[in-house]
Formats: sequence, structure tokens, C-alpha cells
Amino acid sequence: MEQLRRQSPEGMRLFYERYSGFLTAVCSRYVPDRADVKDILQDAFLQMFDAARRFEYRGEGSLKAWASRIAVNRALKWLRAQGRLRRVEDLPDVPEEEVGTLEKVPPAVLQGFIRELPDGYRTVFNLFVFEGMPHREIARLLGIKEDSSASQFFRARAVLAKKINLYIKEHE
Amino acid sequence: MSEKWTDKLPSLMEGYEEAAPEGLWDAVRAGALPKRRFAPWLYAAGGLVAAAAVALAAFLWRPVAVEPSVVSSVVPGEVPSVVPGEVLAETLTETAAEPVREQNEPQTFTEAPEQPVREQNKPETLTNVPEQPIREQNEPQTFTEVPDSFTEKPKARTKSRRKRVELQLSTGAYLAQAASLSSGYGIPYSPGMDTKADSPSPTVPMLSRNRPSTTEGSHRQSLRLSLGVSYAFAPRWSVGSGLTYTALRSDYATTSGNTVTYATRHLYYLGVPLQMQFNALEWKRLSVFVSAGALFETAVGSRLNTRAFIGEQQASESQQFPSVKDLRWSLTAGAGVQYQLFRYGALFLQPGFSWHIPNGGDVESYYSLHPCSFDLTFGYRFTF
Repeated sequence: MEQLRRQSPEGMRLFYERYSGFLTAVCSRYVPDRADVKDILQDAFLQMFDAARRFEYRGEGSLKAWASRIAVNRALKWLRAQGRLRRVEDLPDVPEEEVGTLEKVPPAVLQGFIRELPDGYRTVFNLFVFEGMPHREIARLLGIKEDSSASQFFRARAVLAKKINLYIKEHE
Repeated sequence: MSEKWTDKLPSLMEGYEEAAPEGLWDAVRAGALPKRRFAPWLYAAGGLVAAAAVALAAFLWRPVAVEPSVVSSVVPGEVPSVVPGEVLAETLTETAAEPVREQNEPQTFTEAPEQPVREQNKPETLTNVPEQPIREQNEPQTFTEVPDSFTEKPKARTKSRRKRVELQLSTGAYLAQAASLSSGYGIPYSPGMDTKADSPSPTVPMLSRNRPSTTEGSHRQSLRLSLGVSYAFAPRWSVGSGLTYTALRSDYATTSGNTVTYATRHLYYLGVPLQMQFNALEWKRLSVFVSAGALFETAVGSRLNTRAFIGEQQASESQQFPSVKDLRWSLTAGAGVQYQLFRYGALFLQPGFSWHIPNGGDVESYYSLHPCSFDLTFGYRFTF
């Protein structure tokens, strides 16, 4: 961390090696295209290197959360700049299902299911589930109504539940 | 409960990682290192400090002039109490026999001030001073006499300071080239330049997007012209300023698959130098001088010519005039020789050294890649 604060090339390289895989996964949850993920992560890493001297280190978890927050903010900024958060694609109205044993589904498969969601639904789902944001905050962040955020989340969750159950059923 | 499964998701996905996109580290590293910017005021302050240091050095090492207060204390009819008359006489005798003193040698009241030759102005002494052959320019004066020509410049000084203002036309070149090599995806850039497309040629990124590419660059100065004026503020010392025009050239060759792009970029700078010069040696018509100073430059324009080839066939050709922002301070030093061709004109040749202070900008040029460089300048000086 000290090397990163001093912006030494070695510190940057170590930080990149430790967190690039995790941050790629985080960013890919928001932006499916790999070339776009590369652009976003490039900006995110540069921002992290620049902001490292102001970061107050409180353990490994705090560093990971801080890096993740920067990557997510960069992804949101990119989505907003592309106008993809305003694009509304209706998901089919799927009745909500109970989900079986979630642990049976590999994370890569879950990641793939999330990535298949339309941009708006995927963003709301990620912010609510992974970033722990309430709908009021999500609505403010994305410039949508709170009801719309909740509605998109419920639809996304229903679609994912159906896909997860189907996967479990196929692999039992 | 469906509420529960989304609660479990973060912990399930916590350790999940994906391979980073190819080339991400190269892009991050390339962007991270030049991002270290210094505040612009730091450059301005650095330049001012350098200029002040040069001026202070010139002030401290300037020749010591005759102190009017010391001489004026010796007035007719008044003998300095600290020096007995006999001692004075001896001193004066010695002084008369001494060769001409350096004009910048400190003078005390015991010494007779230098005088121009005055045929009918025999020395008057308080005591019997042995008759000495009259020596040119070194005729002793009595201590009681205030030389009526005191306010005149000594002859040697008059010669040195006769030409107080010089107008200078010069051109020069740096003695080495700089090279660069970079790899990445697509055509990297026109670094620091506001081009319409993010590349030397707008057509190339589409041809080579997401394909590995290598760019080789060579950088040099193609032209420098200077117009300056200097003022001799003390014997041997002068301070000068003026205007410089510099053109820097960069040639790039980018290879990406079977696509090759050649780009030539010219950057044009206008600069204002501030320089201090010391004439170290003068012999007949030749003189040797040393100089030091600072140069402030700002980019005023650029031109970018590109040609792209796919295999043997030319795919595109373009010319752009991108805007570029680059402010730069340089510290300069040099030593040269000057030959007085005519009464009012002299040729000079000056090898020099420049340090182009890194400004943290992302304009890639000879200045940024070769911050320390040797140059050779020659020109003509009109002296008035």
C-alpha cells in the first residue's frame, strides 16, 4: 500500500496483479462487452493510482471495497455517457419462483446470467444486491423514479430465478 | 424465499474473478507514468527562480566599480588623518612606478585614480617624489587633488563599454535525435494533441482496432531562429532577451498487421529567452564568451501529415492542424567565440547545453524525450 501511495511502478504492478481479476469480474457485471470493460478499467486503475495517496487503509477488505467502488462508479459513468441507462427494454412479466440450492450454480454461470439482463435492469439489480443501495439511492443515482427502480429489480430477480432454476434442473 | 437467494449472491460471488482484458496492464502502465503532472505554477516559479539566480550571480560577480564616496572624501586641503604624509609619499611613488592597474581593481584613497593622458598636467606632490618617466594612462595625481576627469570613464572601461547595445540574429540546431518505441492496440495516438480522431490518421484505428501495433518514432529539431537584443550593463557583462521560433519534428511509423502508417508531425513554438553573457577573453578581433539563462516557450501550432498503407497500396493520406497546448521552461548555458568582422558587426558561434524542464504534459516531442541536449548556434551581431 505504501508503494502504491508513492506511485512506484512496482507498487502499481503489484496492486494490478492482485485486483485486476476481481475488478474485471465486478466491471463485467455492469458492462458486458470486453473491449468496453478494458477502457473502463484502464480509467479506473489510473484513478486508483492517483487517489491512492488519499486512501486511508483499514485492512485488505477496505482496499478491495474502495477499488470496487471506483470501478463501479467508472462503469456507471460510462453507461450514462453512452445513454444506456435510459434505454428501456421490457422484460417479460415472469411469475416469481423459489430458487433451489444456489450453491449448485457456479459463480461464472451466475455472472453470465446477470450479464444477459438488459442494461437498466442489470444496473439496478447490481446496485441493489452487490452494492447494497436502497431503491431511493439507486433512483437518485440513475435519474429514475424509485418505483421504477424497485419494479426493474423485481423483474430482473424473477428472470434470474427462472434461469437459475432451469440450470439447476438441467444439471441435477 | 426469493429474498434470501439474492442476499446470498454477494458472498457467493465474492471470490469470483475473471481474466483481465488482454493488453490492459500495458494500457494502464502507459497511462500511469506520464500522468504525474506538476502544477503549472511550479514551472513558472522554477523559471523565475532560475532567472533570478542568474541575475543574482551576475550581480554578485560583477566588477567592483570605484566607490564615489571613498574618493569624494579626499578633498583639497584635507589630509586623511589615518595616513601620514610620508607614507603617502612612498605610496604615491610606488604607484607611479606600477603598471596600469586593472580597471576593476578596488581602489583606496592611497591610490591615485587612473587618468587619461594629460601632457601638461605634471604631478604635484606633497613630498619630494623622484621624477619618473611619464607613463601613459598612469600619471599619478596628488592625494589632495580631486581629478577633474574623475567622472570620466577610464580608457580601458570606455573601450569595453563602448558597444552597449547589440542586436542579434541567429539560428541553431540540437546535435542529437531522440527515438521512441511503443506497443499497444490500435494506433496509439497523437499524444497530447487535440486531433479529431485519437490517432495520427482517422482511418487507421478502424483498420487496426484491437490489433497489436508497434510505433517507432524519431524526434528532432528542424529549425530555430532567434532575434535578440542585449544590453551591456557592466564591463564584460550583458543581459539579453528577444524572441525565438522553433520547429520540432517527429516522424512516426506504426505497424499493425499489414497496415503501416507514416506520420510526420511538426510542432511550432514561440519563446522568450532571458540570458546573461560574460565576455571572458578579448584578443584583437576575437572574443570568447560564456552565457547562461532561461527560455520560456509555448506551442503555437502544429501540422500532422499521415499516409496509411495496406500492404503495398496506399489507403489514405491526410493533413491536419491539431491544436496543442505545451508550455515549457528550459535552462540554457553555453560558451562561444565571436569575431568582429566590421566595426558594427560580428559573427559568433556558440555550442551550448539546454535542459528542457519536464512539464508533466503528454505532448511527446524532442523536448520531452531528450530533456538534456547539446546545440550549436551561430549568428550575426550588430553592435551599437
